[in-house]
Amino acid sequence: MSNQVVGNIYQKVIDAVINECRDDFQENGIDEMTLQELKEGWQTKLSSLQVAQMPWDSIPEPEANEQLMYQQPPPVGQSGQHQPGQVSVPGQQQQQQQQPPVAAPNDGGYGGMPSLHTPPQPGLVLPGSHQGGQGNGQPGNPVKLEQTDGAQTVMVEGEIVDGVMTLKVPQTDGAEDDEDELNSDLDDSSDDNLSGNEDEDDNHGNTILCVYDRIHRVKNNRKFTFRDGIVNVNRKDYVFGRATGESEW
Amino acid sequence: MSTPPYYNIYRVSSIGTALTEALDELIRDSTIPPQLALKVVEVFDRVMADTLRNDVRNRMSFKGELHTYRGLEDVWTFIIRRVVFKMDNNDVVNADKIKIVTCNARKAGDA
Repeated sequence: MSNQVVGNIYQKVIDAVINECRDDFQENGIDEMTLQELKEGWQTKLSSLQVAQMPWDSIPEPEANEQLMYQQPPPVGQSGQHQPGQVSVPGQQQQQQQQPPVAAPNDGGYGGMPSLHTPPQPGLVLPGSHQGGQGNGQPGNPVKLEQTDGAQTVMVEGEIVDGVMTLKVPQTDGAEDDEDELNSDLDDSSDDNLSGNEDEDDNHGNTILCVYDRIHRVKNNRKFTFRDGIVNVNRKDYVFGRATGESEW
Repeated sequence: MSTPPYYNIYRVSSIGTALTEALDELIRDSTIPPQLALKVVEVFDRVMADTLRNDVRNRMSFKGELHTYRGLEDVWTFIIRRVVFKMDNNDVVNADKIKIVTCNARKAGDA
């Protein structure tokens, strides 16, 4: 349930951030197209992570749809619904596949700008192409994270590695000495270990990011009272207004 | 200190990393200056925090084995293993390990 809320919350955040940045863009002499390009790039990248159903991705199977609808025009060279100049930019084909469906439903009515979802960015990098292959909304990627039981899901982490950062595999079994962990964990650099060294772009594997009202310890028990959280578990995102937690050491 | 700054903990969320990656591309293409990108990220810090606080009502709970913890000032990090989450619709989600990064709510940009 919480997972269904996520897409709407994210949409709201994206819209608000983009709107609030409009003045800053103008002051920097950056045009509206670029702002929209940022929005689309943001949404596309977020969609590619497949952490939740996003409202701007109207169809569960976006891939098939994109190709049907948007791959045809470019080869023909019809600039009918494309902006002049865009067709001639090499390397944009792929982007066109991804952008229109992402942008179309949301981009109406921005400050009088025609909501052409074809920003003139020269050679914008293919969404997802540099982040290790989880881009493109590949259907193959949905790493089958079975949230089975409390038992280890160590293998899962290996599987995700190409796309998303994950937890460090060596730490996942019970063999580790807790004290070692405590000591070695004091420096910041160990953060990288926990979230995967290879991919510094993606650090959101199995995390809770939140603020706390209270962290209470009684002997080996800790009780947490959290607020305003984003949770990523098994590659899905959840949000919470309040959360309570308990852990024993 | 008049208004406490907003935490930047949400930058490493999926929506946060998607934003920074999109900004990185614009910087790489020299489409926008880095300072502008930083500004955007700071706006994100605030909007994300405010949206979670004002628009998210649901609750969840979790239980697990504390594996690692460290606290520095008002920022705590916990690694909890064998975590069981209960969502507010009674869905149960299990994870082998979860990392918690949490900051003191009392300092979180309360205007």
